[in-house]
Amino acid sequence: MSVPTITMPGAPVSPAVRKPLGVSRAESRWLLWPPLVFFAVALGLPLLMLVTQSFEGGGVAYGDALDVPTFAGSLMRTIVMAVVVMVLTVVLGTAYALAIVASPVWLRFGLLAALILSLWTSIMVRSFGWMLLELPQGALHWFLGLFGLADEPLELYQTTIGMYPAMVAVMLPFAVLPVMSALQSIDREQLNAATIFGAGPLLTFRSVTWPQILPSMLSGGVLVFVMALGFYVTPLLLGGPSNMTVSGVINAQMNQANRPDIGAAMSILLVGGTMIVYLIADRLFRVSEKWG
Amino acid sequence: MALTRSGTKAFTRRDIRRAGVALGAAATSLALLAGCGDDAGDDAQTSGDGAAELSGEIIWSDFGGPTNEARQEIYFGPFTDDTGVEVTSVVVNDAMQEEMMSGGPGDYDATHVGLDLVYANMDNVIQIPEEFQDQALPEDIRAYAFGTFYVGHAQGYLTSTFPDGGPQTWADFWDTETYPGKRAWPGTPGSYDSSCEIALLADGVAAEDLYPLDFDRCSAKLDELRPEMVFYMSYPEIQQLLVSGTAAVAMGPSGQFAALRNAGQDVTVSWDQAVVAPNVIAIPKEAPNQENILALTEVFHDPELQAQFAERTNYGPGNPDAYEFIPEDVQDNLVNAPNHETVVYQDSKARSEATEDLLNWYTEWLAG
Repeated sequence: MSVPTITMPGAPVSPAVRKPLGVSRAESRWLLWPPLVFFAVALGLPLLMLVTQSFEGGGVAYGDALDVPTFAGSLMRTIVMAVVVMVLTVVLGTAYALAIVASPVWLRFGLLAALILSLWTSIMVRSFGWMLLELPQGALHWFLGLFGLADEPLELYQTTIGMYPAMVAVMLPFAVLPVMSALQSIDREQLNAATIFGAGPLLTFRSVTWPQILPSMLSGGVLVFVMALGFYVTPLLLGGPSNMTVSGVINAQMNQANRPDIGAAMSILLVGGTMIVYLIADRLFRVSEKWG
Repeated sequence: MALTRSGTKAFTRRDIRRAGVALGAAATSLALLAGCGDDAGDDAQTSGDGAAELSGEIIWSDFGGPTNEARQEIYFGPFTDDTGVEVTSVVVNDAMQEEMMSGGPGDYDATHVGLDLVYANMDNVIQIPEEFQDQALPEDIRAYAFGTFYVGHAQGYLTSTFPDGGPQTWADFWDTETYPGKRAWPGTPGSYDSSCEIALLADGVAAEDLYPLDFDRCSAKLDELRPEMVFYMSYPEIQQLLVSGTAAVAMGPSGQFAALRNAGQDVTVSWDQAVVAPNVIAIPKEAPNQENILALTEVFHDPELQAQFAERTNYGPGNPDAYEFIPEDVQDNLVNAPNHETVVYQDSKARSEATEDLLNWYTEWLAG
């Protein structure tokens, strides 16, 4: 098993030849380049442009953004919504991952297929699916009607309660997959050992399984939270306009008010607000020590 | 400025292909004379006296869909046959439209806008020759836009919903005891449309006293109906909300009711107090093919072609003469038909001065 030696052009020749089994510093540097370039192009550049754009009028856009009457409210609403989605998704996702790992093969395949299929379907299509389900005389109403449970049209469409199931469903794979992979890498012998020492299922779960999946739950949760901040269509469609997220307000500034600078400033404030929330959470719960 | 998209990015692959076709067509038709004689709607006139020879292309930006298809067949087809100038349609890119309407450079020769945007940017658009101006437009703006068509913000319902006759006025729309059922209403910040005008009309304000809009009064009136509203995020959703029985009545642009009718539904639209919203095409100052696009304004002014367009799209024409060519039963579906005497015209000028307020007001009301 020979590792090909790669050196960076212009870099001093490293003593990598002498340790063929490890990864030389030059090699790790090479490996670092693709992701660095990718992030610079895909994340750094747009972010820089956004910052530039938001300061086009010399920072006036930030004042204007805060003056847009709906901005502050929708920012708070978005963060609260993202937290609720995160908590619900992590709880449900962990349960789903446990179910996958604990199921017989045929059921495990079914559960995984359902999860992956939903991931493959466009978020618009899924949102409209939920809409058809939740309409006052929609699929759910019809289904309840089969059991004689639906006399009145359902009051679910465009309510706050009506939007969460759809958002949790959209986010579920991102919470399930990391926890599932953590569960699968648990050494079965540890579970056996716990049983041999007389621990019941609850104690085994609490002292063996839980500590090993907690980091994955947290990282899944952070992922879901960050992605949930960008929700736009789903809450507007299923929760109604009183659940307007900050994305909706930003979109209106970009496309209707023709003030892309205000839109950019709002985006920066959203990112900044999120980071503050995260830092506080980190201070309180030491999130970053546990995930990764 | 940083996010202003460059010209090439605004084109899809299909546009580029079409542009290629346009170039080819332009090359083969160099010998053709421009038929800018008396009536460009007629078939090719090879002896156009005094008409400039045209070549090249036009980049036309609108919102696509059936309206664009109708334009291609009714207006662009004869024009291209006549002049050899190929018209390439693209879907409006907001950033480029904004850039060009504020006087900047760009690819568009013509772009679909609301009349209020023209009022706000009169210095940045090219004027139309007087003989091709649409007489239905207010006099002070007539020279600055063409391709006029009138959208009605009206209420419509499936005729079967109210067998004994449905709501007529906006006060009826608010009266959920006499006419029970949910009301479909626009639910995105940018879709304020005629919401404020309609709320004021429902509250008993006379049509001539609507402007300047009293936003607080609008909000208060809209709040009354809010529990009965179901919101749509895109216009075609209106059709779904009505057909699925989610909403009993919908307020929206008349084209959606026409689409339902074309899909075989029996729809009733009340034109009583329907608000008339003028949509137009503007030629930005920096339009690359000005001669070509100005020649096209003649085709768009032709009353017979406007009649065909109205018949197909159910949007009202901007040239009043067009009504001579529109059958009675089609006239019933056009918001500005001569016998629709109780419709209310938007004051585009007043609205152009309140664009930002309208957006902020509606966003706030929606989110509240």
